Amino acid sequence: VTSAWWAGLPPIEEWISGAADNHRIRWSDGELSLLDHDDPDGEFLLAALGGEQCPCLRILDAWQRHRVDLYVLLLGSRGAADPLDMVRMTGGQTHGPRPTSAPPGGPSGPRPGPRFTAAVGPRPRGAAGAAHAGRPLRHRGGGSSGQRFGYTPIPRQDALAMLLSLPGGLPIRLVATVIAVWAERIADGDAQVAAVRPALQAALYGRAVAALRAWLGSDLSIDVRLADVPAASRGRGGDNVVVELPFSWLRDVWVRGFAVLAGRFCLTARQNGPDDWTFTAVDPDFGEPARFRLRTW
Amino acid sequence: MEMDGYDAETYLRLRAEQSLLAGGSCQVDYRLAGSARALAAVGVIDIELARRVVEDYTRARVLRGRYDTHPTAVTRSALAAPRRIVGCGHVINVTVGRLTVRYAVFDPAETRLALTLTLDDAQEPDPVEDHPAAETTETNPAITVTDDRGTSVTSSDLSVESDSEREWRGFLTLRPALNPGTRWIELLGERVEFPPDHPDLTVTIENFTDADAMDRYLAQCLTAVGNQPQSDSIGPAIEALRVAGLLEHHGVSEMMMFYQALRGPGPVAVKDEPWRSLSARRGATGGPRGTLLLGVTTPRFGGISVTLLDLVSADGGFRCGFELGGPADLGTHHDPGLSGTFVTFAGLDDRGNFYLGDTDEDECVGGGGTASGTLSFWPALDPQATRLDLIVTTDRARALINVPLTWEDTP
Repeated sequence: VTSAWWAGLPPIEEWISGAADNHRIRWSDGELSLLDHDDPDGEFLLAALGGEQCPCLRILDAWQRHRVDLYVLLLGSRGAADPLDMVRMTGGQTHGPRPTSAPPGGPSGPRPGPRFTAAVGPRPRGAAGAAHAGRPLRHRGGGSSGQRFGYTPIPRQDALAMLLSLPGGLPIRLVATVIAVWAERIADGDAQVAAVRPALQAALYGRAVAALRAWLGSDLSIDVRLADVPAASRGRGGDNVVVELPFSWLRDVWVRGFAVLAGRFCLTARQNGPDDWTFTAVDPDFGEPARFRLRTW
Repeated sequence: MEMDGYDAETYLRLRAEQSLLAGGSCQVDYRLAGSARALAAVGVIDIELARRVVEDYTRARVLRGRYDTHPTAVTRSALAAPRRIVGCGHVINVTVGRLTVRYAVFDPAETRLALTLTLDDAQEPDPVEDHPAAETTETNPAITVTDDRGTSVTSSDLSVESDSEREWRGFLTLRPALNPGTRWIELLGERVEFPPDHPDLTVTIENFTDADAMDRYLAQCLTAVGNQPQSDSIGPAIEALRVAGLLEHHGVSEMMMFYQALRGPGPVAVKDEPWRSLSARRGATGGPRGTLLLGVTTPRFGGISVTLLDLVSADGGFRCGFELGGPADLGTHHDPGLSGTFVTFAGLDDRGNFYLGDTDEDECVGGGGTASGTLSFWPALDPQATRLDLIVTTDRARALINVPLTWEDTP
C-alpha cells in the first residue's frame, strides 16, 4: 500500500483574526482551504483595485506561492527543541484569539466541506487524490512564480514569517508540504534537485540531529548522512553515532512525529491501512534494526 | 542521492545547522562567516553562494530570537579624497597642562587637528569623564579656530583616547573646513604655524596572483588575531580548510604552530619567517620613543585605500593613526555579508623583524565619509632599525609604505 504523504497528519482547523471577523482556515489531505470565503479570486481582484484584503487571502496566496520553497525548511523549526520566536515573527500580533464559543461544527467537531481550496501538495503516484472542492486559483501549481493580475504578493521574508507563525499545526503542515514536494522530485529524478542538494541535505540533517539528540542526549557526536537506504550505527568507542537516511525519511517518519517511538529511533514508517503502521527502528544500542507494528483502535 | 564527495556549500550548511541547534544568542554565526570567507578566499566556493548561506542562516537565527551582535569590524566609507596632511608639533600651555598640535588633515569637507593633551604633574588624572577610552561628544568644549584667510570655524567634534592616565590623544574636527592651503591657524589665542609639507613617502602596490591564496589568507587571519589571540576568527577557517583537504603542507603547519603559540603563554620554535621573528620577539620591549608624521594615502588597491597619519613609538610597541576608504573587513569578526575587503596590517623593518598590527574595533569609527582609528603594532620596534615597511594587505594586493625611522620629537 502506498500511503498519501499526508497520511498521519490529521485535519486541523484554525481561526484567523485580523479582518472584521474571525475566519476559519482548514488543512486536510494536503490542502489548505478557506471556509468563510466564497470567491477568493474575486476578492483578490478587489484587493488589487484598492479594496480591503482579508488576512485569510494573504495566507492562502502565500501558502500557494511557498509550498515548494525550500526556504520554508531553512526557517522552519527542527523540532520541539528548536522553537521559533513568534513575537519576533509576527511583530507582536497573533492570529488568535479564537471566539469564546466555537461555532457549530467548529474546530474539534465535524467540519463542513471546504468552499475553496488551494495549495495542493504532490500526490502519491497511483493513488487517487482527494476530491477538491471549490474553484482553483488561477496560478494554481505555479509555485512561487505565480502572479495574479494586479495583485502584489507579500515579500518572501514577510510571507514566510507569517506562514511559520500560523496557529496550531499549520506551520508543520506547510513544512510537510514542501518536504513532500521535494521527496517526490528526488524520486522522479527531477533535474532541479541537483542544484538544491546541499539545502535538502541540511534540512534532513538538522531535523534528524535534533531528533537524535532528544533521544540520546547531547553528549554524543552525531553524524547524519544522506543515503538511499536507511541505516544507523554506533562507533567503536560508543561516543559517536552515524545515521544514514534518505530525504524521504522526513516525509515518512519525521513529519508524522514518528522519529522516536517506544524508545526507538525509527528509520522507516509504512502505513498498512488506516491506523495501522509498520516501523523499522533501532534501539539505543544500535543493534540490528527491528520491525514492529502499531495499530490503534 | 550520492553525497559522499566533499561539497563546500553542503559543508557550510551542515555547519550552520549544528550551530543553529547549539543555541547561543548571536544573530550572526560568526564562525560560519569565518568558514565561508575562508572557502571563498581559496576558491572552493563562489563568494555569492557563500554569502547566501550565511545570510540564510542569519535569518533563521533571528527568527529564533537571537538578537545579539558583535561590534562591527566592517567599515563602509568612501575612498579617501586627495588632501593635505601636514605636521606641526606646536605646544600650547593650557590650564591643566600642555596641548600639542601633532598634525592637521585638510580635507575639502572638514579639517581635523590631531592633538595631545599632557597633564601637569599637579593635575588629577582622568580629566575626561571616567573611562580612558571614552569619546567626548556631548561634553565637547566649543573651540573656535581661524585660518590665514580669516575664516573662523567652531569645533563640531572632539574625540579623545588615552595612552596613559596623564596623556590624552584625539582629534578636533572642524566643519566646514578651513582653507586647505592655510599656512597657519589661530587656536586658543596662539598662532600655530605649519611648516612646508614634507616629502611623500614611497608607496608600492603589489598585486597577488591566484597562487598561494590559502597561505595568504591564513596569514591574514593570523595577522588579524595577532593582538587578540583568544579571538577565534581563524579557528573556523582552519577547520573549513582542513575538511576541504587543503591543510597539508609545511607552511601551514608552521602557521598553526604560531597560532597555538599565540594562544599559549610560552615561546615556541617556529622556523619560517615571518612567524619566527614574531615568536622570538614576542613580548619584547625597549622600543624607541618618538613620533613621525606619515601623512600618506595609498592609491586604490583591492577595493580600498588607506591613509596612514602618524607613527608613535613607545617602549612596548608602536601605533599608527589611520583612515580607511572602501568596504573593509578588519577581520576580528568576519563581516556576515562577506562584502568587505579583508584588510590586515603588518610591518617589516630593515633588520628583518616582523610586526603585527591590529585595530581596536571599538575605536574604528565610520562617519563623515571616512573610517578612522588607531593601529597597534607589536612587538616593540627594534631600536637598531632605520627603515620600516608598513604593509596593508588585502586578498588581492598589498601596499608597502616605506618609512624612514627619523624621529621628529621625543614625547
